[in-house]
Amino acid sequence: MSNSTASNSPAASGSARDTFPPVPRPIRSSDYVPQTSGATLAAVVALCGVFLLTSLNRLNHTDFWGHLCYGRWISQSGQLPSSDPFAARTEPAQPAGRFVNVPWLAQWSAYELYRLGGPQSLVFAHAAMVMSGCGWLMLAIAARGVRPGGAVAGGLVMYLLALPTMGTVRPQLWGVVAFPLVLLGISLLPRRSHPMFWLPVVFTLWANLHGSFILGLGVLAIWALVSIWHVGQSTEDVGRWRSFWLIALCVIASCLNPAGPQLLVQVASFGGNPALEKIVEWGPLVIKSLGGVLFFGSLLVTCFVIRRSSRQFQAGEVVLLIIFGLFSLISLRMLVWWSILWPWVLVPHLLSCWPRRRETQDEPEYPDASRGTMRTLYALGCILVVLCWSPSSRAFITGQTRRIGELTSSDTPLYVADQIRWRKLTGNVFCPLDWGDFLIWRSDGAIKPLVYSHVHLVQPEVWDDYLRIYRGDRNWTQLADQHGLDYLVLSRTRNDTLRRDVEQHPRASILYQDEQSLLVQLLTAAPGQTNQASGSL
Amino acid sequence: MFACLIRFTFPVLFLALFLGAYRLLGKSMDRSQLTLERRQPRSISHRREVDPRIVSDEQLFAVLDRLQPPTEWTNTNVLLHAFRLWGPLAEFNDDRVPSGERLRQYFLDDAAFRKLAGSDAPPLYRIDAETGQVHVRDWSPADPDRVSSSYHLNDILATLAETGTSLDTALRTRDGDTTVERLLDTAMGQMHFRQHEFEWSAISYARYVYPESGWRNDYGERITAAEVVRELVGPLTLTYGPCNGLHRLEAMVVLWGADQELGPATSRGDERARQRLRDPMLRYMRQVVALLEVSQHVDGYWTRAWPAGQKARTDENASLSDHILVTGHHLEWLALAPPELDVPNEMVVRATQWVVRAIQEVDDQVLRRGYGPFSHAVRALCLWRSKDPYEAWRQYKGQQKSAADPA
Repeated sequence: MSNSTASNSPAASGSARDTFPPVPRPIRSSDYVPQTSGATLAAVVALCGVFLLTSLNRLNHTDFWGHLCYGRWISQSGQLPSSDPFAARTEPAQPAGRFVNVPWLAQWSAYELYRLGGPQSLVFAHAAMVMSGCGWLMLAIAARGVRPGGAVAGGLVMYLLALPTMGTVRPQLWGVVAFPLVLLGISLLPRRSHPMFWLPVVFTLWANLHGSFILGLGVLAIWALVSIWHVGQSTEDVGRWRSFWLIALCVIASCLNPAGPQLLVQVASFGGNPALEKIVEWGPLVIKSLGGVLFFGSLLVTCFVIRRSSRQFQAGEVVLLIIFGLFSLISLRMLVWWSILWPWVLVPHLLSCWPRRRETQDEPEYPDASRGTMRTLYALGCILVVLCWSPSSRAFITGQTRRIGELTSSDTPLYVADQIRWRKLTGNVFCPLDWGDFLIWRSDGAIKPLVYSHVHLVQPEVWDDYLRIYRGDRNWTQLADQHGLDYLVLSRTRNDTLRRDVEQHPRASILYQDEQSLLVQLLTAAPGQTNQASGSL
Repeated sequence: MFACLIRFTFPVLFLALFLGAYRLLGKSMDRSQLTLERRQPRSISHRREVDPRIVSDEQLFAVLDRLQPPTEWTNTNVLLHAFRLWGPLAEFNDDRVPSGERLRQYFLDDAAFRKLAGSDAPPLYRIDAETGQVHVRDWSPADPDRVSSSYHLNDILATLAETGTSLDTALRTRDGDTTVERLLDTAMGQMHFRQHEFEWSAISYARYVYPESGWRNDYGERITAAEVVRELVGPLTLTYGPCNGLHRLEAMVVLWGADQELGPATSRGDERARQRLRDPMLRYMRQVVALLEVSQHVDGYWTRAWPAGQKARTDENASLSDHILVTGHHLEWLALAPPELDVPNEMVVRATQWVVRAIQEVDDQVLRRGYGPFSHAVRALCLWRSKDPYEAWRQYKGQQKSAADPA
């Protein structure tokens, strides 16, 4: 205690008559400023942090541009594609009906947003969607009877767990917004009936935005089925029947899409393409990776909570944890759903591990009413700082448009794509599949890659040939002729074997090169030249 | 009611007020655009004591006389080298030999270009209708019109800078008229640090743009002088890049010269910043000079194997063209090297005298075929004597004429 404090205190002066006890002066809250609770302030700060961190992500060079190409195609043609409009093809297109472009609405809306505000609007939308996903999850956790601080922490845990998969702008982000809404609906259903009205609307949109709606239906179905075995109070019985009605309504709502009920079958069989196995994010979770560390860390916490929780685990919670845990182990891409589900299930149990302190313990004797006003100002200040600091919002505020190189990831083939555009090249091209999407985008679809990020659309034999060319197979010219390739776009680091062969090959004419890539024109083969060239290797 | 209304609008008004202020502040801080303060390119000259032992006037005239611009058009690259050597003022009193102005017009006027390259030659420049950017048709091995194309990225722009072409000079293309400034704008907008053949972009930057730094290119990437230097000194091998990696050294000395031209630093911060630019270049050049000392052949030339040091002396596989290419380019950048770089005079004399002998002895056919490398060697000789090639040639020719015909 400082001297000044000591001398001012009545006890120190020795006589209570000499001094008066401090008179608390409650300051009236302002009538003109909205009042903010401590929990709301915490949520605002947390969500601002999520927004800021997400907005630091750049537009990935992978499937994002492919989806934008689809959006442009839909917007310009006014119809949905009946076959893959972008891939190089020498054989006839897939029969009509087999091709279903599930996320058409996400693609179209992303393109329309792009038209309105350029690529930086998509970076902004990315941050806003992740933030809203976290926000909805906070509400969903709070709706389970968890105190607000715990709900806010749950939202942040979701962001942390999803870090390895949340950096890419893709239609899946709509699932990140919608999935917590499903959990919110489940949390509210025993006590409220309104999810019966809005959740089917969510599913109608979700089914047209991304195939992950099937997971939402799965969660609802599991929750409804497991609730049969759950013996509860009467209100819970009501909730149980509501959940059956809800799943029925949501299934019907999901069928409101261009493919109708067939979409459910299509989406369920999505993972069947063997090409997906070669894509890292569709591959199994690797322990020695950020995703692996986070996932297995969350499993350790789960074990701790199971042991210490004073709250009884419901059967539905256990089943969901097991199923989504297995999904995440099988595929890194599923980690995002685990990251949403896990806090929703675990946070109530985690908080029950410690006894709740009495709310009044720290409350001042005379509550300071102006705190609500100050919290509002803090919250606004926080929003202000984040809006000015975040690159995506700052660009809108200052009107200083960020150019493509500032917005895209460093592996985006910016320069070679520009060369293709200036040279007005058209035709089939071989390129690393993750570059294909951007090349399609920049060439307005004039360049058709052998394979691009939509690998689920690729025939297995085309995929095998792609891999052979990619690795610099000695018969690459034959494969190139077979697929009618006009150009090669090579990565210096990833196609080194092929590059070295191409640089010496008589049929290869280098049109452009930089330290990242090479653009090569394949000249027409003289009779017997293909075999001679490959035989010389 | 009023309080309720204010309560709802307060957050919006609060944010709008502060964000509006931030917008105004942000606009005044925008430094992303490239501003070109000078219209004339910098002229970089020899900054050492002139030693007549390096090359005599007579020798200089003899080699210059052999390197007159070719009478027949072969390709754009030869004309570019001829223009670079002789400059825009050259007159040869021979209708068959293109004058400096004619060479200059080849690169500035599509009509002049077509006269030499052929009426059906595709245009050398293309103006992007959307952006107004001026793109140069570049060289590609499969292009049937490759001989009339630009051989290296931005080599035409760098040559226009070297020959003192103002940014206001008109550029008459098949797509319409523009200026050299737009050509520079395009080049600087497209400049990036993964660029292949970065050297001529760096030379153009040094002569037209430096000390401007920190603008954003067309992709939004920040271009700074420090990054340009890092790119120049940062290759994995010393020979990375066209012409045995030697244009990289040329770009360094040009940038160094441009920095010297700025005069003394205005503040300690400025001095430190400029020192940070110069130090890595000086280290790189010292390393090269050390290698050149030990790799020089007893006859005076260097081969492509010069980075190998002493072992390079025994490189017997190299052709005369290789010797000329490497020796000429080395002499050229050494002539513009900063005085702080200790260049042994004997090494230079041996090299220049070998060049003189080689050019005098070589037959016409080899000379025409290797006009580019030979022109670099001859330009280097002129730089070492601090003489303009055309002036040196004209003066000596005049002296010869008056000696032969005193009347």
